[in-house]
Amino acid sequence: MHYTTETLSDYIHGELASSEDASLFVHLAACGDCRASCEAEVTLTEALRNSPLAEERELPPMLKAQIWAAIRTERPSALDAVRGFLRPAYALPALAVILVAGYFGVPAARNSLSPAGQPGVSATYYLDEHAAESQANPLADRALRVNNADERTSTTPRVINSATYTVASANN
Amino acid sequence: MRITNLTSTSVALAALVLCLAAPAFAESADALVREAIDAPKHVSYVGQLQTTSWGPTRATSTVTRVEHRAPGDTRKTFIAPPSIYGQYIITHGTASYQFDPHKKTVTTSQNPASDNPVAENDSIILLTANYRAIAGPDESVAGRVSNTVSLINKFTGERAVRLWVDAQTHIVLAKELYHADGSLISRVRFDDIRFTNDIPSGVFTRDTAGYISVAGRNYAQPSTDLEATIKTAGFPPMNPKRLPEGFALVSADVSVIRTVKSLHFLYSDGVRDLSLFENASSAAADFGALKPTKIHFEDHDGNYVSDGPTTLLAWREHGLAFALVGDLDIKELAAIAASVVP
Repeated sequence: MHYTTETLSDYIHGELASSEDASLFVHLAACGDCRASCEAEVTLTEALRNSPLAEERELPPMLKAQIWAAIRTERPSALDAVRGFLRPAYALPALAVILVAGYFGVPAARNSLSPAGQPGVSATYYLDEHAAESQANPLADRALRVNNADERTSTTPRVINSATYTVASANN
Repeated sequence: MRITNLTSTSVALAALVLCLAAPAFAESADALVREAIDAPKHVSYVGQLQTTSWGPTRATSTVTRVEHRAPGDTRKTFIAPPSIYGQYIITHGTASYQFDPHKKTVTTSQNPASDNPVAENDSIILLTANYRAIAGPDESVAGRVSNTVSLINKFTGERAVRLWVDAQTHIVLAKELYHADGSLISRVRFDDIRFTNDIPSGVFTRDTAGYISVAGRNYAQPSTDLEATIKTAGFPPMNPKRLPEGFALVSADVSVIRTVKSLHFLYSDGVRDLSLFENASSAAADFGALKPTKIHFEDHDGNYVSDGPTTLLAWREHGLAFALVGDLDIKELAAIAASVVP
């Protein structure tokens, strides 16, 4: 049995359900054909990611110079400038930025003990640093914080929800 | 009269035997702990490890497949939970490589504390000074006979750690850490283990071909030169006047985060660790998406958050921003924080 290109593509992009993801992971270890197809998909994905960069073209220097000359000579009036900022192309993104900043920024600022305008040191920095230096202690939990773990298993019926993840080992 | 004398003699003899036997018993338990700490340096194994840690509101659990080649190569592959299934971490000395086969990324980090024989030796000295090792009955873990040993805090009389040590190799097969009230902090246990020197080298390969390299953290080098570290920080720090009994300052370091110089003191009693961070700028803890709880102690307003069994308490005092991190409950942390005064 071989997996389709669509399924392999979903696997690479982490779109599969956990059970199917696990099955495919095991299958890839044993099936050379599927592994080759998977590697080809990865190569293709990377090529697609890189293509916009490769397709960027520099404007001819003369054309650039002409554009800049036109910009410098054309000075808009104050009224034109105000009108310009009220155009939907500027106004809508600006409004969106203000709304997003208001939505996310206010709770974040509330959670920081820093005075307004001062960047705070991330709490996760402190947790990571403590976990890392605790590794010198042979009996402390050797914690390795693994990011992107949005799901956890639990042995007790408690709430499971966190952005980071702590793993400990007996001997290392 | 004769009976009384005989009884007295018997009691005295029994006491003498107990006196002679008890230190030997304790010594053998101490020796077992030392051998358990040393075992991974010369024993290689493959096994499946289950780890569970309990926080104030939730428990978290992972299952990992572990391949360890003595003295210092380890690979841990996550089997559960599903969100990190297939990710693996290879550690070699102070370097760690976290591979994500789905995203095709490898994150490389350096942590000098993870391979520091001097610091490890200091921890063992503190452990011996602050904890009494008491041997328990043998038990079976992962189908193997294990010697059990509990570490009892000499000041509180409470058990802090229980170890299940493989009778043959002295590898720790299971470990439980406890809070002062006896509740569990974490449990680590092998479901299955096999001792072998024939692990293929490919298991530990750090070849990153086909992966996108991501720069991880380069953690600071811990120092025992307190004076030089404080000089590097560039401000006079404040230290706690009260720590739980047995805790001692073991290292200090300075890191720069967004142009802010953060001074870090690490305290330990051999089992539990406590970190105090301070900086002289107006930059304080930013909890971001974490949801901190407000706390008021000794005329201070602070915020704290729990990450599994670890608690972080942040506050400001005399123009300095502080963060205290440890596997202690918030009352203990607040008591320590209140003692951080000039």
